[in-house]
Amino acid sequence: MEFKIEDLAITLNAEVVKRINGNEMIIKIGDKEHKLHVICCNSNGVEFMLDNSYHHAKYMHVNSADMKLMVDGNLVTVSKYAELRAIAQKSSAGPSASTSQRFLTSSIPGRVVSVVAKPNGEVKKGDVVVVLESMKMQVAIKAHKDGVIKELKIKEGSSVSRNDVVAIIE
Amino acid sequence: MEMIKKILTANRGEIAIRVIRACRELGIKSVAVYSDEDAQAMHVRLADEAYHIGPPSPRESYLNMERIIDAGKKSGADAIHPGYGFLSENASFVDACEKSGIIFIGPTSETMRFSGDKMAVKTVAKKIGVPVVPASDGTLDDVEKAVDVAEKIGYPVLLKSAFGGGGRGIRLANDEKQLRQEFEMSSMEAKAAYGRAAMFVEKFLPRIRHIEFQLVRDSHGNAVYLFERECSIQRRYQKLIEMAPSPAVDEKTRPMVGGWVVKLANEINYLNAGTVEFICDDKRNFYLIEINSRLQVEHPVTELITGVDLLKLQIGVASGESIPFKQSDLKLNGCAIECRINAEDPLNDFAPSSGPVPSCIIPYGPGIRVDTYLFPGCTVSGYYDSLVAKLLAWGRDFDESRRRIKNALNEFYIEGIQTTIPLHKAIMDDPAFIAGDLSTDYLDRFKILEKVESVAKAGAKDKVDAIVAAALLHSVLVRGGNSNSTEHNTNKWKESGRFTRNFSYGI
Repeated sequence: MEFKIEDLAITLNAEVVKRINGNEMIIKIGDKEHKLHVICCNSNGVEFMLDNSYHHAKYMHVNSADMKLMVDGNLVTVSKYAELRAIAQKSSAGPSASTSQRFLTSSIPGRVVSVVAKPNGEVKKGDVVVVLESMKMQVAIKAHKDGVIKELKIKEGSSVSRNDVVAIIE
Repeated sequence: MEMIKKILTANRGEIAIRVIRACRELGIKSVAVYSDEDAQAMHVRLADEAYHIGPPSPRESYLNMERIIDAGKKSGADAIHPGYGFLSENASFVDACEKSGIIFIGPTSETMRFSGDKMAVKTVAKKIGVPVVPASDGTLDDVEKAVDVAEKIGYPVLLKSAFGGGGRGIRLANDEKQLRQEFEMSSMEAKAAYGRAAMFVEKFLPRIRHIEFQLVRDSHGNAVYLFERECSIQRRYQKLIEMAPSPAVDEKTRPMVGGWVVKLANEINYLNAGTVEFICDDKRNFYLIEINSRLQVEHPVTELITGVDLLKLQIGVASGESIPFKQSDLKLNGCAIECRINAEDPLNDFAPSSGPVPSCIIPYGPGIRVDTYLFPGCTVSGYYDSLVAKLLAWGRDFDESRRRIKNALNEFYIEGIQTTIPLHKAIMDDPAFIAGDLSTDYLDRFKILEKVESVAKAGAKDKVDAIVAAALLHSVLVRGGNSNSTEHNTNKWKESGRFTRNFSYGI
């Protein structure tokens, strides 16, 4: 299976070579073989020994294309089948890509201090749409693309969580 | 002498815990106050008594004088410690405590009002021979007067508004033409914001260091200085790293500036702990900037190099006791560094990062001290400031201290929020920091923020194999452990279904 570590732009092939028993196996990463021993696996993640080193991984978010995981305290994004997806993406570029980006989301949890953009108003990429306050700091949520504000999902004083939709831009 | 038997801390977070610990050592009962947000906070758990004082917003809780004094009366507290921030430099609060018969652990309201007036402080300093930054004698409302002052003190100059604190509204003028332009704009801004345009002109000193001296004076007139702290590494006028001793202070300068601090304290009849801030130019000239009439965030740096517990000392002074040592008893021992760990994402323009912290690992080891309110399962609130932990290291010299804090930064694990730990890691390895080449523009000068990203990535580079193994393991575990290398489960729908059944994951 092919894995691409997005943050480091490193792609490696990895597979299970041999299962020794339920918890132990030999795996191959690139062209090197390693001993992998699963110590424990529960809702907190998985603890394993890779050769003679202890590691802990927690799967934060997984879908069919990629996963966000925490390995020994480092948050990384790993995508699977990178080559296949690159080919698929090239042939499907078009309106479908932009509709999924209608939603402008908040990068932080916070309270709305001021709504700068107006409904049906035009915005350019980078324009401030709404200003949030958290921890005595003000953070501006800016339009991620040029367009028109179809809908504002928040008003002054409302509370938002991280990744909440604050506006729809078409 | 008044025996203080019960102290209420009008604060939260790590400083509230700090006061509680000092109380414990002295056999004094501790009282905590908390807002809705902090009902399960560590300071509430550790205190002997805790009183709910309102909803999350600071205005209705930690800044609400009536509710806090009320809790003081209900609990029968003899004294209130204000911590830092919130009401710690609010003279009206000091008066309110006094009126209610509760001792305020800190300076008098008169001293606070005086320290808050930067012009008054400069006037007194000049009178007793303490150097101040060359500046206009008073505030100016006329551009011609400003030009006159600038001629006398020499360009470049800083134009500051007498109102608005914390680094706001400061403009630079390199020559007369620029000064006239900036004065015009600045006065308009000030008039719009405050109704008045009281400006003052100050000489601009490039490449300055921020060096402050710790002061304590008791009610019997004994004053001591507990050496200095170098606080030059700042971002937007907020300190990030503090240390003692300062590379810019030598054996001759220390007692000289210390002497000024004591003289100033005596002149204004200062009571309890405080800090006198100086800026130091590239020729090692010291200029007084201001007096902070409270205990500061970075006080542990001084505690580590002197062995003096400043909280216990504050309580003693507030009880009417004399400072139990002389200036000559104080020795500067070793080197201490403090890194302020803030819940901000340095890779995302320091965006605030609040929320639950499901897991955390606090570093320990020789010479390591951590003042924090974090514990696994706590929540970092978006209602209060972003300081979540103070990581300190003491070493026999700067290098030992630096290595210790660097290792501690690597051990420090906080899950659920972004923190400035990667920024501190980048600084601890920076050659300029190691050489002591510090100034208030340190971050910009050495492009530290650009280095942070590569430091964060370097952490992941060592783990490439582990990361790939973990990703591979996921598919193996999802298939129920029956996988064979040559079988590929190409049905992705089945895969995600099994996964949801077998795992509960995520934060």
